Amino acid sequence: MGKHVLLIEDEPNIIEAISFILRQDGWRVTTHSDGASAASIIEKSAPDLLVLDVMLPGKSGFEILRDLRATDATRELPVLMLTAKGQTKDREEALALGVSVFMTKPFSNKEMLAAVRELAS
Amino acid sequence: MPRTLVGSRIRERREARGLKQADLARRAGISASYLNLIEHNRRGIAGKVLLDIAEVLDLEIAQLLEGADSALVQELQTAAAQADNPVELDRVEELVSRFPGWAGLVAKMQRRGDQYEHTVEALSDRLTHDPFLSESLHEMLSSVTAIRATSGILTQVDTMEQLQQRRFQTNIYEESSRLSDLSQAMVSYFDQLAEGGQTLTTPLDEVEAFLERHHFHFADLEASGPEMVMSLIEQSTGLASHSARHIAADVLLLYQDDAGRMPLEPFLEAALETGFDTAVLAARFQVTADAVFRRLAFLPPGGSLPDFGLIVCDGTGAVLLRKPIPGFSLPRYGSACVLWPVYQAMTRPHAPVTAVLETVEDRVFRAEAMATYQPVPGAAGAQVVRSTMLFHAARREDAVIEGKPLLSVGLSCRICAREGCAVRREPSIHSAPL
Repeated sequence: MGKHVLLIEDEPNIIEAISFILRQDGWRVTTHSDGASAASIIEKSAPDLLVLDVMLPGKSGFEILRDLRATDATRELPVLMLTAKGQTKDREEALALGVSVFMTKPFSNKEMLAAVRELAS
Repeated sequence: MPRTLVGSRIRERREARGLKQADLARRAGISASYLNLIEHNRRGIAGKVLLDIAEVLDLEIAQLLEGADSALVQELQTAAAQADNPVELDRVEELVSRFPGWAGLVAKMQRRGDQYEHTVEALSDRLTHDPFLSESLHEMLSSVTAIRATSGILTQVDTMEQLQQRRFQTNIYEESSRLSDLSQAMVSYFDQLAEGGQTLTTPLDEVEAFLERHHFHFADLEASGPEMVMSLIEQSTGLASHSARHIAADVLLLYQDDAGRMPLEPFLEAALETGFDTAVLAARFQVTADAVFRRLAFLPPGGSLPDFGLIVCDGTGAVLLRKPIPGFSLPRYGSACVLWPVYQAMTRPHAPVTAVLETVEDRVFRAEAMATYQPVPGAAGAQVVRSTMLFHAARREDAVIEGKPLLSVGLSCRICAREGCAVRREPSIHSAPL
């Protein structure tokens, strides 16, 4: 079985499409849609890579990322952040918080897959 | 207006009445050659001669000395301050008196330019911060992302279970329907914007429109009980949402409280007597300065009172209440110029902050602000800070009188063209570099 990707995203049709693409590529994909409980899910499932949306119910992707980088176990976890907010300040905030790759919606499947492969290598 | 230009005005008024120079001179009891010198501003004029000429021209002396065109002169001076090329500022009065039509046209163009600028500011503010647009754009991008990813799968993956394929087709159908609804909602939103010039999108917008309809003054609340507040709100058709009525009630109850502490007649008298000295007024009526700011901003409109503007923000910069005045726009959703006293005051609550502000358009305003801590019941001892700023049109000399340099400010970085600003957060749409 391939490496484990945890996808935290609240749009069901995006979840389904990304999950399909990654599974086709040999990844084991689990998903979660709530920001508030994301930290405990990450801790329990210990993914190899996290695909994280910014706008989530309960807690934003930025806050989740901040918590991850402040925790020893997840400090180095590769995180691909997805956002519909492409403003420079959001990108800068994500980079300052320690994001691995920041990707603006809409993106192509090829771009997303390439980013995931690169992060896992 | 200097007296040397009274001559130009006399000539202009004489010509407007179709009088010949010789006729006016004869009727005023002076020689035509002397009147000629006066009209060309080569001789001063005062006393009986001035009185006689004013009488023949059927004018008040003040009209000749002060001129009814001082507002026009001021408008032209404002226009000249924004010009890139050198302008003969010392001859502006001559322009007004000799070519009133052209002067009026320049002033009109200046006013129109100002209007366009304010429209750009308002639209930029709306596009950046409008919650409806922000939410709609986010949803559109999410839908487009889902459609792009799903259609990509359907075209790129050769073998797929039929059930999965159908699911993806359904997803695309769902997302395209959502996109269609969103597009319609946005078109309808922009139509409304174009038709009305204003679209009420938030409860605060509704409250602001309600206050504007009442010219920020409520005579009925000057001496009444809380039931009058509720009655005013119930009677208002503009306060559609529950949230707007709730916010309006808070604003009006505070108004009523201020009115109780600073009754209108004695407050107006004291305000005029002290020259609107807010510190003295606060001490005399035993209230805080921010209460005086609100009271001054909510005085009856018109008359000889200055036009006071007001903005109230909380510690996050969110705008809680605003009363704009001509020439001093206020942001609808926060993110104004960080140099404004309303923000400076938050760094030291309960201490008044005053400044004479110079806007990018070279207009001058005097502003004073004070922040106060507000208790938050049941918030584990947390306090919030709320800052209030009062402002009104002023003169450059006021900065000298206050012993402070003029403070150059903008509205917000995004629409501020000021170059070399040390506190710029983001590039301007006018392309001022970071």
